[in-house]
Amino acid sequence: MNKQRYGLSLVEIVLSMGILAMIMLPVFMTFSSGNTNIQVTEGEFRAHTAALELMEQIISLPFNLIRPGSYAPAQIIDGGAFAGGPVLFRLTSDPDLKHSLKIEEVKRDNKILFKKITVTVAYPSARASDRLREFTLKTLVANENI
Amino acid sequence: MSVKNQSEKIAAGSRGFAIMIALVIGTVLLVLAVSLYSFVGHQHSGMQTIVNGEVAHFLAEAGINSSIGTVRASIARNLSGGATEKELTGLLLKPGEFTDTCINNLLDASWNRDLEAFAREVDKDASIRVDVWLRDFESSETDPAVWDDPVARNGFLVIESTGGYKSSQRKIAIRRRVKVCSTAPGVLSKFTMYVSDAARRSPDGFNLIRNDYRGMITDGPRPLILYNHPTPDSPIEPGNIADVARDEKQADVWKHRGWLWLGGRGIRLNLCSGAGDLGEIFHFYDVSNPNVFSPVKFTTPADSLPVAFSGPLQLPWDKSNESIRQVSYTFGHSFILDGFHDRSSRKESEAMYEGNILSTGEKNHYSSKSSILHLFGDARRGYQSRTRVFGVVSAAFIRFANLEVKPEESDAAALFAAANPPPLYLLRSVSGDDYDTSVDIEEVGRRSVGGPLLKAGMLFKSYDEYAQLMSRVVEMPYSETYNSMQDVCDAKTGRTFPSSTVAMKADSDEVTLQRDQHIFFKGRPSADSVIQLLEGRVQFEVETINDFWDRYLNQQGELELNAVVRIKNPRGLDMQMPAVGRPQPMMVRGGGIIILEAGNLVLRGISCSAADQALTVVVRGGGSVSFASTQPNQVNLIAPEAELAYGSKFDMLGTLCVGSLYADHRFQGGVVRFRTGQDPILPGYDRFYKVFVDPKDSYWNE
Amino acid sequence: MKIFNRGFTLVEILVVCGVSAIFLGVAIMLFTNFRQGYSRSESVAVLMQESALFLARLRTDMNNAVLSGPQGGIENQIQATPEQLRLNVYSSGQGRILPVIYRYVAAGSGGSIIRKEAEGGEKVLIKNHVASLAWQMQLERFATAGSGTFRIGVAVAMQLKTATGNEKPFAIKTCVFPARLNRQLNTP
Repeated sequence: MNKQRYGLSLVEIVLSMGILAMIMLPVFMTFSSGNTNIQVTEGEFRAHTAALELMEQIISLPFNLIRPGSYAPAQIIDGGAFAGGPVLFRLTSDPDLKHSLKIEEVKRDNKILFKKITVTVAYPSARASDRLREFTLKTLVANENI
Repeated sequence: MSVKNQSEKIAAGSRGFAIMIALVIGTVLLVLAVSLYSFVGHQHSGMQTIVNGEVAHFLAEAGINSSIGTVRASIARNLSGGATEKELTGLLLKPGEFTDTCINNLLDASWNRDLEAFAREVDKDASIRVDVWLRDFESSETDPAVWDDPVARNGFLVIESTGGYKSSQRKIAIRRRVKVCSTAPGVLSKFTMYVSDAARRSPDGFNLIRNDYRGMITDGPRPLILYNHPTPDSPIEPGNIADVARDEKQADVWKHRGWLWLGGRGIRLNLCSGAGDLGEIFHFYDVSNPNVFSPVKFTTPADSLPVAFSGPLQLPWDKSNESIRQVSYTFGHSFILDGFHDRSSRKESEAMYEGNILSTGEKNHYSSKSSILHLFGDARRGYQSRTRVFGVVSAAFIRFANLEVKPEESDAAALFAAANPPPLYLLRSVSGDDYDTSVDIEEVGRRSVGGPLLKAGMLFKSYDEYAQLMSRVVEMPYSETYNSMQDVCDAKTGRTFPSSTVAMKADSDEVTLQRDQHIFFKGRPSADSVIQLLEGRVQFEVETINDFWDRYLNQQGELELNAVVRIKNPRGLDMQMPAVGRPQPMMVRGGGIIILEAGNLVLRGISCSAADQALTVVVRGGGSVSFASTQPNQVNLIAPEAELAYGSKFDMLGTLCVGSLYADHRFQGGVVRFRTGQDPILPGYDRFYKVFVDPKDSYWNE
Repeated sequence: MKIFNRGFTLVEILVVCGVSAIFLGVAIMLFTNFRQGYSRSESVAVLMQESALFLARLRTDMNNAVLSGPQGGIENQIQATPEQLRLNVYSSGQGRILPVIYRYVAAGSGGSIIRKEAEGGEKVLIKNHVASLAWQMQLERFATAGSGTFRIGVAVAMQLKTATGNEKPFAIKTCVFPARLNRQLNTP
């Protein structure tokens, strides 16, 4: 009557591997998604820097030169004209970022009090990936001429 | 069956071991994963926070740019609006500690509703609001040795825009300096006149002038006449006789009058009074008919006299004990001044002694002497001086007390009236030891006019009563003065002219100015520390005098100062107020303080548009202050290094502070009156506080 | 399956070794990958953080930048040389305009960026991680009515790397525009 056992049966191995796998699966997924997240954050950071650059250069203009309208990525290129006028864009960001700009007037009593500026930058979610994410910045610019 | 049981048992025994290992490994890896996830998560949210902060900054910027115009206009409206809108000013003028206050509700802050709506249009988590605050106020004048003002303070008006986006907030602020101070010159606003060196370095230095009480003289400098309270004939802010009369009843009325500072050295001062119809009240009596005899005297009010004076006394008609007739006499009491009235027809010229008391020889010897300063007040014998004078004062002529005797019966009255000169009954100076009730009161000159035989005991119950009215002028709390006429009455031989007798010496140069519980000032008044105080209030600086006029004269040529301004005047040009070519007097619509760093000052007439405006002009550096016109000037002059130069006869309402008084025959004299409204111990002083808001904003910044 | 009372057979041991070898190998591979990726991500994250902080600091200073005075032309509002970036900033704490200087100290193993405010001490913003840095003042003039419209900005291009140097450097290029300074320049 020898009750002692030293070895592990295959059943046990398979069972414990299964449990381990069950625990490890979400863990590994987290790891890989964490990686992705960091990559996404880097991309977001670049997109954010580019959006801020575009936003600031528009806000630095005198109020009348901020022409309302919707501007597609094709129109927003470094050295390109802003709203056809004398003002040019100045962009230093990566070529794989797509900027779009929307400027709307905010009126009260027929006076333009603010312009609402929305800058959207589309960036790839991972290196050489096709999926695009969007980063948006919105703000108001006040009419200092009133 | 047993094999299965066995394997089950075996399986049961060892299954826990493997699972445990698996679980342990799994937990370790889980912990690793969680930490990585949180790290990345922080990255992500960290990024988000930075982005939110930037959007919040843009929103704050939009907020401040859009509403700054409206906010500024609203502040300007509140500060300059009518009485009901002056809540901002009222808030700033409250004495004591000032805590940071948000004043949106005072400014009708409608802009925040709109800003909220605009922010919502951007994003439901966005918010913009603009708040106006009064911040970082500190009391600026807290030293009672210089000036302790509970209201004076400096701080900032802050316009703050807060942009919020999700959980981040950014603030942008614009600040403007705010200064609150008084336009009255500290401790000097209690003085009618402050002279740094009235004796011009010589205690016996005074100027011989031949004058009458109106200051009409033929040669010598004209007198500078100082009133320690407003008078009815003042061209600006005239005094009310009823008020002055009421004040007379108080024993410490001198506390409410203007004071004098004479530089701390010996100075000869002539104390005199006005003419008598208004009794004890000082009034500058205008002699329109030179042929009517009106002595320069003033009468003690009946209710201040002892009981015996209230009704008539039956007394012998003759000045001898064998008089057979008894006449009823009523008695009064008055003071008469030496040397200020000429009852001859030549009133315009040399003043002479009352009643021809002096012989010609004596007159030639003593003549009439007075210093350049004539203090008109109520230096009544037996009562406190109405004017506090700091310094060592030697008086040349004081007064003597006259018992007014009026017979009730008409023939006796006619006899008195016909006597020339009219009889004068002096109350002689005696000391307590020499007094007894049988002291004779005689008519001066001992003429028999049919007057009464009077013994002191008939009118006075005790020496104290007698002393109260006798001819020794007691300027309390100072020393006794010299009564020259008493010598005449006593027929004293070898009279000495009282050239160096000290009439008054201030027991101390210390002053305490206090209202309710608050002490404004305690110490020795000093013009230099007042100048430092006013320099500390300076809000704005201009380069030249022309720049000053350009900035502060309005369209109508009125001065709208409402500020404390320093004029640098590097070329040392003279400043004329009003400027040459402008109408006189210059109207001051908004009072303030002007500090002229260099150059002389010439005044040609200044008038304040309302009683709550005051203009103070400080002239630094030596030089001169002069008056080029007889137009009245409602101004305070602080020029402790400058000289009051000759010019035209002037009229001033306010405080005059100069270094010295120049006196030669060209000096035309003038009148300075104390402006009671500026007295710090009266609540009216609070009207002179002004709130100054710097028109320049600081840059906005976070 | 036969159950033995004691000892293992060779086959059992071989099977177990094989299974565990496969299992362990896969696990080790995954872990190694993960570790490499993690450290790369971590260094990227750290460099990204540092560059973000530097740009944020620069942006704050530029938002508080003011005109430096009547004697400077527009070109002198922001002065940039390869080693130094200099601008005037309004400090609310001190209530006055102060010069702020950013210095780039290059070094083979990684340079540093240092910020100095007026007479204050120097603060190191990025230490020994800068592979290269170029900043440049940009002044653009647009032909609008009147004397034209100016837009001034600072273009920054930098590469950051960690001390070990075998990961790819983190590069960022951007241009910072001071909104308030630009408005001041264009106000008549």
